[in-house]
Amino acid sequence: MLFTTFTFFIFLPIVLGLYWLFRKNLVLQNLIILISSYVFYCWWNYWFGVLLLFSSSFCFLITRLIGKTNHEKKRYYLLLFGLAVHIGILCYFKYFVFFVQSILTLLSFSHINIAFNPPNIVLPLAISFFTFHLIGYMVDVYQKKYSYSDKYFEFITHVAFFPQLVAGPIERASHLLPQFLKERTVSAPLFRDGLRQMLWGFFKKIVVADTIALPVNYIFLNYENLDAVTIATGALLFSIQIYCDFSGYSDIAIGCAKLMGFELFKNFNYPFFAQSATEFWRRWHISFTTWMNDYIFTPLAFSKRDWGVWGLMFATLISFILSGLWHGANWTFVLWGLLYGIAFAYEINTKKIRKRWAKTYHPDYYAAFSRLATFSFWVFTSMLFRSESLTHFWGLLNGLADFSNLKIPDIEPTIFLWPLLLITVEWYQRNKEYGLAIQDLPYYIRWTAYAAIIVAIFSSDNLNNQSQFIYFQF
Amino acid sequence: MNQKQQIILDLNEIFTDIIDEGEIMLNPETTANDIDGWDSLNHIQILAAIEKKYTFKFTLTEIQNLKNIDDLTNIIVQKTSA
Repeated sequence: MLFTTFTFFIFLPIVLGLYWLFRKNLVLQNLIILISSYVFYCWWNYWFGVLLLFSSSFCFLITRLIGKTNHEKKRYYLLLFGLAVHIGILCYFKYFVFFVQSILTLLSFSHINIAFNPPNIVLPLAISFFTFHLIGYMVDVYQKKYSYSDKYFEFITHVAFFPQLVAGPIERASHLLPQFLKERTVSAPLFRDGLRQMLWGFFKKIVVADTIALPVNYIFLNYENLDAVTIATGALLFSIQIYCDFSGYSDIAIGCAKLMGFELFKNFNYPFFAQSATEFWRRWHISFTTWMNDYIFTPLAFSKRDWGVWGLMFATLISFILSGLWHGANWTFVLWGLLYGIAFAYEINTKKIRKRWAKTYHPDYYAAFSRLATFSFWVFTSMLFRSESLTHFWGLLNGLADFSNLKIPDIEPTIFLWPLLLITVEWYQRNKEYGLAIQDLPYYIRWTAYAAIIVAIFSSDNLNNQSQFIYFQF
Repeated sequence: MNQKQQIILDLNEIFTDIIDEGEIMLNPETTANDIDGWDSLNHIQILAAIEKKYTFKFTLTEIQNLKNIDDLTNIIVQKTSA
């Protein structure tokens, strides 16, 4: 079920009504969440629900076994088995065809040609998200950072919790599971805050992202016949589209969870105002970055700490290539990860000199330049996100390098109004939790803003148009 | 001055040198959130510098369970007195 459909607008009040009707009964409230979450998820395909139930039940069992034994070797082998099953499921659904085709392509360079008819494997939505959630929990239990859960019902409910299930934030059991074990309360200000954050998320997705998706789709499809300025404009608009699409989803998810008295991780912190690639990744998809940091980067960098800066660069590069692969089974994502790995390596090695530059030039100018450079790099690398293949990306680069026949892009100028408005609002709100956190403003300003946003959403053609969130494919 | 206070003074030097954002004054309750620049990249370099100074090795579990400077000093005390 999509957040931006009328179905969800009917589904949510029913769930909330039942949920708060039984506010004195924690078990019943959790049962309502469990059933509604599986309804929400199975709306796409009920087989997805079977897979989710299997994965969370398996994780529950294996972590109990890990947690109950003190035999170190046994714990270690149980962890390996658990990881193999979860990663195996993910690889089968997401990477099997990609790996086989990549190997066959490599073999074809040696004139070994093997015919391969790729099986039609449907990628279950959210599989990358809930698999990472479960792997994180398993490793935490193994490392005794968090004790295993013996409450099956609450455990599978927290994994399936519908606001965060499909596209995050990627939660940690240590943060979310305890919230299922105690009574939830929602004050009137918190409830309003949840609604406000959801409204902001709907605005970003329906009004901004889906509106600029139209020229973006056209430009990325017809790039061969377009000039460099138009392609660059397409890349710029896409980089804003993906931000509004994904951070919009996160705002709806976090706001929705607030309505039920839950707190989810913050997932975005105004990434377009970052002054370096390192800072960008502290502000973009934060729950994923911290996951990669805790479970991939830190163990790798720690194991190679004797290599000094080289160890850091090695760990960064591997972490980013894996990050790229997490996003999709395509070499475009691998290259995207590699580019960010290189950017990090550059920043690790130029830390001191960049500090000197910052002192040499006026701090405001240097900050503005750094923001512009970081954002431009994001725009450039976003093209890889949108490209269907490396050939597609190469075609876009060729188009960008061709300075003949430059012209003003044939795009409706009003298309640019929404992104401009959004970035202006976010700049002024950059110290707030989210862009529409305007609870401290006078009521007539607040309600004018809410009314304007609601009108913009409902007058948009994009409402209920079944346009998926981009991050669903990951 | 007791051993833990001395360790915190040593840590001040290591943190100041690696983070390079001016003088850093740590206390037992200090966490990564309290210090600009104490990110995961600097964290690894700080741990490597501590290992070099005190000539011991951390384990991965030890570093992943660190919550604040007090936890760090406790491990150093434990490792150096072993």
